[in-house]
Amino acid sequence: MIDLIIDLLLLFCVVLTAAIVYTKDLLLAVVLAGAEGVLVAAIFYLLLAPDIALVQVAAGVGISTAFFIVGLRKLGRREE
Amino acid sequence: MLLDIWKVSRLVTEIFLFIGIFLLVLGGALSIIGSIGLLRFPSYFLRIHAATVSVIGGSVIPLIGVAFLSYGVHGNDGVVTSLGAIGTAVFIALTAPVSSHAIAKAASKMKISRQPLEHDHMEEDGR
Amino acid sequence: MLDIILILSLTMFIISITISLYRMIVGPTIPDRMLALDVVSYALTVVMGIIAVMSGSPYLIVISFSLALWFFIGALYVARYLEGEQIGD
Repeated sequence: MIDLIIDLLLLFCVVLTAAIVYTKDLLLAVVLAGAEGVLVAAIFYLLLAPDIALVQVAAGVGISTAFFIVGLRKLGRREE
Repeated sequence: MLLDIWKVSRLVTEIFLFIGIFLLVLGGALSIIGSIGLLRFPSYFLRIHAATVSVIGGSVIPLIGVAFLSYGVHGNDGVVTSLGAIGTAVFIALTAPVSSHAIAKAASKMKISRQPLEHDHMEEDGR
Repeated sequence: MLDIILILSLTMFIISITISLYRMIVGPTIPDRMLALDVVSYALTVVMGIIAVMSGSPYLIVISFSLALWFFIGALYVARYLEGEQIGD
């Protein structure tokens, strides 16, 4: 059961990564990267590594989103 | 002798187990209902309603169920998990309306609503 | 009996996460996707709680609280960007 959930979450990660690569809206890419950070943290948690999951949650959801949005305000939202 | 008062009887443990199972299954059903509403509602301001069902009904209630279930299964060893689950439930119940309201206010300023509103109180107040 | 109930509720939350991730991929605007991310994040919080009960270790429930906290901060950052105010640089 746990193996099946891990495989499903990895499939969602592949789909989200493809959406991040092919989008032109940079804010959308940041939001999708936050979602992928949540899913990767859940995978680490299901593999019974809670310390790595703690760091992944803090870095992938909170700090990465904050830094990218502060940078996005300087650069503009659209990619040519 | 004084600590014997903390040894719960077997009946209390069984009652906690059944309360936990009931809350957990109820929360799962509410979460699926909220997700289907999130999939099928046509506009953003209607989807907030479904997301609220899925967050409060599908997260706070199952976490309280997890707290009961942990004490029912593991006994006194599961007190830490139980207190953590109750703390997480209280935190979600306090902060999920705040973030949802912040994004809804931003969406109202972006004017993404498909149909024109009859009364826009934020426009009338000049905010 | 208890294992069957736990696996049943785990399956229900995984179905909910799947439907919400479909809305996140096809959602028309950014607030729709943030709403879907809200549902996914808090459902994963409950999944982590169920795994903590199944495992029996007292260290596993901390990640659930941490996920709720950091998602709240990220959602506030995205909302402040959409509203057009200054974040503080």
